[in-house]
Amino acid sequence: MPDPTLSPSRRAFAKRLALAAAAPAFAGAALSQTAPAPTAAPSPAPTPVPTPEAPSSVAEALTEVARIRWGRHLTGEQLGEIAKAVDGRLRGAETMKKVTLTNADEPDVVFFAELPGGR
Amino acid sequence: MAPLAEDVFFLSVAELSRKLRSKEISPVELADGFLDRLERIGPKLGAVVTVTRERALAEAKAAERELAAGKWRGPLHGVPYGVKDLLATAGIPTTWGAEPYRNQVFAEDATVVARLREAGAVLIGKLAMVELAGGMGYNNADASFTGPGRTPWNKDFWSGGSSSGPGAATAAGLVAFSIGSETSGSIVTPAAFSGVSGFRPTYGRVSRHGAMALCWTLDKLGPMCRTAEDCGLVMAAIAGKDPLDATSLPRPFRPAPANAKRRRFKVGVIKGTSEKAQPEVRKNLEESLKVLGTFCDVVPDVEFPDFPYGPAVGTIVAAEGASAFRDLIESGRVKELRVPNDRWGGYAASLVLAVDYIQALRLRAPMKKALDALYAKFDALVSPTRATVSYPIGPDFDKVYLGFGGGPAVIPAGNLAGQPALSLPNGFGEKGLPTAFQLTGRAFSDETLVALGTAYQARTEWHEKRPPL
Repeated sequence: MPDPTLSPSRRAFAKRLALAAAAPAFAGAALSQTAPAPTAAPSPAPTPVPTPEAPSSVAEALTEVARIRWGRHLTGEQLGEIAKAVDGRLRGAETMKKVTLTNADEPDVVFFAELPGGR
Repeated sequence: MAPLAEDVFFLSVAELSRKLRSKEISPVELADGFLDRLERIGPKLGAVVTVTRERALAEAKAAERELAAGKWRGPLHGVPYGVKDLLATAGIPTTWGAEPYRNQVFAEDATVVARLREAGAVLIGKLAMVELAGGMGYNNADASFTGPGRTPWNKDFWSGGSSSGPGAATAAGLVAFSIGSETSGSIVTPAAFSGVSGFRPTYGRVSRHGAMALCWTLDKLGPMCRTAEDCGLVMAAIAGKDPLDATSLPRPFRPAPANAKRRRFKVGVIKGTSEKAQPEVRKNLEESLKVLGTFCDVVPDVEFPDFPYGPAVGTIVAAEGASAFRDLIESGRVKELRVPNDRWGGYAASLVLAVDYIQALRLRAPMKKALDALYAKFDALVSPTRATVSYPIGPDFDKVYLGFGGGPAVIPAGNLAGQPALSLPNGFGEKGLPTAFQLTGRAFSDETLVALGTAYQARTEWHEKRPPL
């Protein structure tokens, strides 16, 4: 775990993202490393989730990708929410990595060469 | 023609079918009565998007002619129903519950709608739903351009999502049955919150052709009805191979005959699913287990396999949903969505790493294996469908019912493994809101779950309760 004392508050983080959203590309690269906190991914049948204190540096970096790609559609507050959601998913991904898989464990999706309708 | 008594609108499909076949009621007067209720009560519950009066009356007249001529298509012949507004219907708007798609019209019926038409059922309405079936991460009941779906038991509370309209409309007697969809919880949750019987089939048993895609590897269509038996009747009409959906399977649904003799069922109770549930949910589950115990061997404290079901389903829904709606997200038109969360959720979802998505798909194989090994020992496992009654309309979901929930993630697990589930009403909790339990089974045990649910409902009356409209 990164040192949580290095993490900005949620409000400060959102404010910096807002400033970054208004600035040219890569302005957000200066976002500091933060401590991860628990959250959960959105679901079609949602359940209450705890609010994270501050996203991780990886989440911030990915949020910067969102800002560069789609920043014209997003407010600073929304970028802050995206950072939290991304952070939650990254945390989930870490949980998934803890399940042991071997090289032979394939994704449970099968490709068919046949066209729909059997053509 | 005298109006039909209100009782008629709360009959099961099986009972309506008997009355239609014996000509005690006519398909046209039945459709007309349901249409009137859907138009009058539907908007008050946020349950309806489009009333398909013209098509309904045409189908009802056709059914009337055929029944008069002695041609009976089966138990759905002449029975009015509605579909979640993510199923394509020829020439009628299909809005996916979302403002950007309000004027979308398809040229053909979805396979499920076509099959119901062939079965003689009468389509009376396109029912409300959470925008884009919740794929953008909604966190509030007010999540459709038609407004929040309201449970008819207490209109200050949500009917559940994302099949909000099918839940509310079926519970209020505005349709005799409905079709919902589930990616992870979207049939069983509104069934529980609305007090109806909701069936999520095994993945692949019902064609998804013509249904809005949110998540190709998880989406399923299924019936929401008054009874488990009705779910079986609808499944018999819609299940089976469809050349237009490569994931559909040649496994028609064949309900067990009502008089079939069989051994006692064996059900297990999933350990830890009700410990953090609301007290009424827990108490009602205990009562349900007593009833199940009269015709089942009940095994308590069954350990559920421990896997990261929540993260896996969240990752898959995010990645596939972001791809399915990439044009909407990248064009910025998601800003037209109702819920503030849905206006940015797609961008967050677009950032899921490919390796994480593939990891989630790889995990599905060991999850499926472990779950099947467990479920093979039982006809079904039992748990509360939801740990709480419905959520109030207004506050975000994460602001209420703090401290309730937890336990094994039965809904995500079942969806990841493609397993069927049947949610059945089993009483009432806070604020007069319904509670429910779910029966989950191994893949392709759909008929067994329906038989079990039918046997339960033969011994209880919760499915016969009517909301105070």
